Amino acid sequence: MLQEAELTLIRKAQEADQHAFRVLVEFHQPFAYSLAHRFTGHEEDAEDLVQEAFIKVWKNLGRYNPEFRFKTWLGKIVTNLCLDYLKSGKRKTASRKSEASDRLVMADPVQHDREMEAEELKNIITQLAQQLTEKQRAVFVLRDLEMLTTEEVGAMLNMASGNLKSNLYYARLKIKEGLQKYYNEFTSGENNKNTSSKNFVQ
Amino acid sequence: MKCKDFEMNIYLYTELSEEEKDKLQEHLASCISCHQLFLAAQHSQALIQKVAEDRVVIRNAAVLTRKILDKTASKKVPHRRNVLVELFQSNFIKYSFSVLSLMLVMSFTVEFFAEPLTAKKTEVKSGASVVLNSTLFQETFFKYKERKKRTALTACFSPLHPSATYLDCLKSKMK
Repeated sequence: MLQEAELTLIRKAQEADQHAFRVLVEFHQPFAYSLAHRFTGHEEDAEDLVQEAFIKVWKNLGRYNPEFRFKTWLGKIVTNLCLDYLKSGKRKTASRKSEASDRLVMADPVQHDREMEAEELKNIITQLAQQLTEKQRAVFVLRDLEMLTTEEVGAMLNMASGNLKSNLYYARLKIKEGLQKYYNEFTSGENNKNTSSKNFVQ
Repeated sequence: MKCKDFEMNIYLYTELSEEEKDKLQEHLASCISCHQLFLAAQHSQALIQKVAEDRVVIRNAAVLTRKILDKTASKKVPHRRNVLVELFQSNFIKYSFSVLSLMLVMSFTVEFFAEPLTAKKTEVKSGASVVLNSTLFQETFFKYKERKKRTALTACFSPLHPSATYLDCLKSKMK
């Protein structure tokens, strides 16, 4: 969305125009949801957090600073909510695997294997990310998983470039070590099975 | 540079400038252990990239939008920013006030630690000064009289005139 068009929508929403706010929600909802899902790894939690974030946005629209992009502001709100949520210990413990496998209704077994493989990798990385410190996790999710620019991540987290790089370094180091450990254990334990997951380490 | 110095850059390869990348590549060409670490880090990044590209999609986006709009409809209407509030929140005003307050604090500090000002009291001896002044006046007056007398004596003295004329002249001059 063009910045000017977005600003017009925000101004209208500030005047309590529900239609303008709806357009903003529809446009930015996928980003907010994706971010929340990357942090929590849980669909329902992510939906709750996105709702909460947009309500917060609506309440604080009057304080919106047009110097920053709306996406950056929203990202900041979602990130803070997610970090608070993860700290609070309210996390739902429902199995993500079951959620994933519900969706995998595959006729083609090769395709099914590939999907399972991708889902497995996603779960491992989500679990490894949860072992990082708060700052490392935030930087890792925003920079590596959401693929935002360093400037955007810095603005969202109020973090200087040096601090950001340092956190990213430790996050990548820990994730790499976690992945290596996981696949080493996997290959030693499942040597007889010829699964495609072996490709990750070999 | 040692291998340890390159380790961070190996993991932050995507964040490096072209110049930094060239330096790292130069080192990797000559160091097997760093090269292996670089390959492992790149492999890990490729896996992360795979997960990142697999976008998370909302299954029921419309329902979620409806829920959000239902909740916001019942909430208080947001207000536009007040112009006065905006003015006081602008950086220029903030910095101006902070500089002003800093100056005030500094001036108060200087004032607090400075030596107190004391008024110099002049000793006034009114009686003595009157005596001194009258003495001075008398001295000046007598000097004046003496000078006048001397002038009169010089002006009236003449060997050709008789003594009576000399005395008359003196009398008239001294008046």
